[in-house]
Amino acid sequence: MDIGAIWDLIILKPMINSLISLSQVLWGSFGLTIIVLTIIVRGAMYPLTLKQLRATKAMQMLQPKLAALQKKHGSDKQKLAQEQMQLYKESGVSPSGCLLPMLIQMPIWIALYQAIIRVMAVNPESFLNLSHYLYSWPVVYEALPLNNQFLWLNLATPDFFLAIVVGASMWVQQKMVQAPPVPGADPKAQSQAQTMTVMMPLMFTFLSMSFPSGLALYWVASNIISFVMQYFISGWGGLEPLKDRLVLRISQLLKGQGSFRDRLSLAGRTQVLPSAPQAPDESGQATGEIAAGESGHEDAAGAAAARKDKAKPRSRKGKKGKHK
Amino acid sequence: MRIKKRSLKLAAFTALIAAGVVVTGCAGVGTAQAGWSGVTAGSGSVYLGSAGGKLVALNVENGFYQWQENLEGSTASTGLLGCAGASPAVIYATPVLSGDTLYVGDYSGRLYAYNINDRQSKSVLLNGATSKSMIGSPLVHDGTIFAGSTDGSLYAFDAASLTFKWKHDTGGEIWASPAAWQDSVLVASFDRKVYSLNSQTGQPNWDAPFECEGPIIASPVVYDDMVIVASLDRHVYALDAATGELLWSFPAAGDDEQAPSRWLWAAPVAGSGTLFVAGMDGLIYVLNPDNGQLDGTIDLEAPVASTPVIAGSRLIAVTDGGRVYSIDTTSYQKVELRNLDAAVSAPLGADNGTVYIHSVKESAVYAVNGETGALLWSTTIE
Repeated sequence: MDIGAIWDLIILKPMINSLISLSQVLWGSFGLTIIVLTIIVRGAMYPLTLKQLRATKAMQMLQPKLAALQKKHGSDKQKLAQEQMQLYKESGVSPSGCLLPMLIQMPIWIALYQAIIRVMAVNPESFLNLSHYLYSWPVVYEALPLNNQFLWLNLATPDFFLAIVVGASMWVQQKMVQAPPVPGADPKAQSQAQTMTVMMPLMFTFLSMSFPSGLALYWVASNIISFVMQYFISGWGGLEPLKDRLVLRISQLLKGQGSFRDRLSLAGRTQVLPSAPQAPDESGQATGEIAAGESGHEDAAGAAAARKDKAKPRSRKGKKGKHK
Repeated sequence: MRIKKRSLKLAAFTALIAAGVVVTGCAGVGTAQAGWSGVTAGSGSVYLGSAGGKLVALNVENGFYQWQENLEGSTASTGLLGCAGASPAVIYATPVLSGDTLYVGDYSGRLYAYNINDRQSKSVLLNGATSKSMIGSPLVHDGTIFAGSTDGSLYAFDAASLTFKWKHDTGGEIWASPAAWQDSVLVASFDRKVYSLNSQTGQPNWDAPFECEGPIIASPVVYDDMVIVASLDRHVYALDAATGELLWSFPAAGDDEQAPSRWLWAAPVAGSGTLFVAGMDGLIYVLNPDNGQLDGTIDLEAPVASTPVIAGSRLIAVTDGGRVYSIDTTSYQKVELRNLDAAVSAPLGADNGTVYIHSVKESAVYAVNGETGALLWSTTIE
């Protein structure tokens, strides 16, 4: 029996028949089946995923020390390797700690991916080919062909909007996995990680535009489960600064809405005169646009003051060694 | 230097992934689509739809090309932002010859009528400008041509002018070719039902369509005022052609032990007072048409997707791997005629004791003597 036949027997056929049987329980909805099976498989893989995420986080924490070792022993490869192994040993981190769980999970993800493609049967040949993978369970035969309609989607054809969602969700997931900048970490490695955070989502977006939307649905479901898991294990990760900015912006907007309402209520009592163009002040901002509304003026004046403070010339701090 | 090396590695990795995206995006997913048109023989020629979207005519004696015509339909652009481009027409339906006119349908949902003498043609889209497809062969009966569509409707057109006459909606895609009985046309659908319609008006003949447990892909067969249907629920049903009443089923209800273990994809074949039903489990089930009792099974040891044919006193069946078997319709003895070593899923054609086999994957047509198994000729289709 060749490796392909073994793969089909042990992994792919069980996955396909589980997918089809599950659809019978879920009202014949293939879309719902994809989502639920993804959740089940991710749930089953959770211990491995947990191990992988923790190992990744531990490796990220070690980055500054590894960078320091690289700097210290960069020319002596043997010494560097020794010191690195010593560091791993002392910290209890295994370099393959994040790799091994991923390698074990890979066949399951590949099988789920292949199962979805085969069951969707995008053309008559694919549907005929499906017969080679079916168990002789009555529930399997009664379920086929599956209903490819899910919400607005035809799961057998690509969908532009879902492709965008794939990219966006992948970006969020990548960001969360990425550690916030750590002092002393290798800046080049960080820059490369940043590039991958953009490239991978872009690539998957383009892929999703040509693949059936059933696959895109699987990727979206998988990404969402990933960042829920990631959040509970290690928080927002690289999204932390963005999250903070978002929260701040929302609160600013909410405050801003209160003052706008006040301005409206005063509009009947106060005439707003068109402001004459004025020379910008020290902050570089024209203040003519600040209208005469009282409460609005308070906030706007505060903002202008803040800008003014920002624009004040700062004392120069020369770098050591540069000034003689 | 180190910075450059790392940047180069990253650039190379990114380029590799991008190339992978473009290649897979342009290639698409799933099994490649090529069609599975069978072969029709008549008027000194054999006709088929090729994998390249052409209607091909070969000399019946030697397999030499007589003519070929590109069908005008094409499948929609596929792949990443349409980079794979539009493909030529894909033909699943076996052409049908009626007098001097050859009818064929393609995956774009277009029905064609070609005059085999001057090759003048006309065509019509079954369902206006939609992307729904024709998979089953059309049927010509009483001056009307009937064609099923994946939009779930059976269409009727005037056979001479291709003027629309009527259509009847079912609840699922229609892959099976329609069948005729007296002034009725019978059609089976993915909605698990068999319909009998008046061929002139499209009105239902039966009180209600017959319903089974699975979708129906195999074409219904009319035998002795019965309609025989093989379903993907792995049962064979015999219905009264006049009323649609169930006469028998194989296996009988509740008796699933005898049930085929895989799909019944090929249509049943009647010959010598016996019914032969080939399954994807590699078995040919021999049934008594009077009561559906199993008279025996013939093990071909490989799935059978193409509908067998009767040539003289023998049933000719081909497995999906290209093994050609001849089965005596009385003694059920099988003989392997030859191994084409080619994937075959298209229905077989037969004429005057010669069996015609189209392997879409190999782009070849084989003519085999149904009695001796001798290969009379084979032609590679462009």
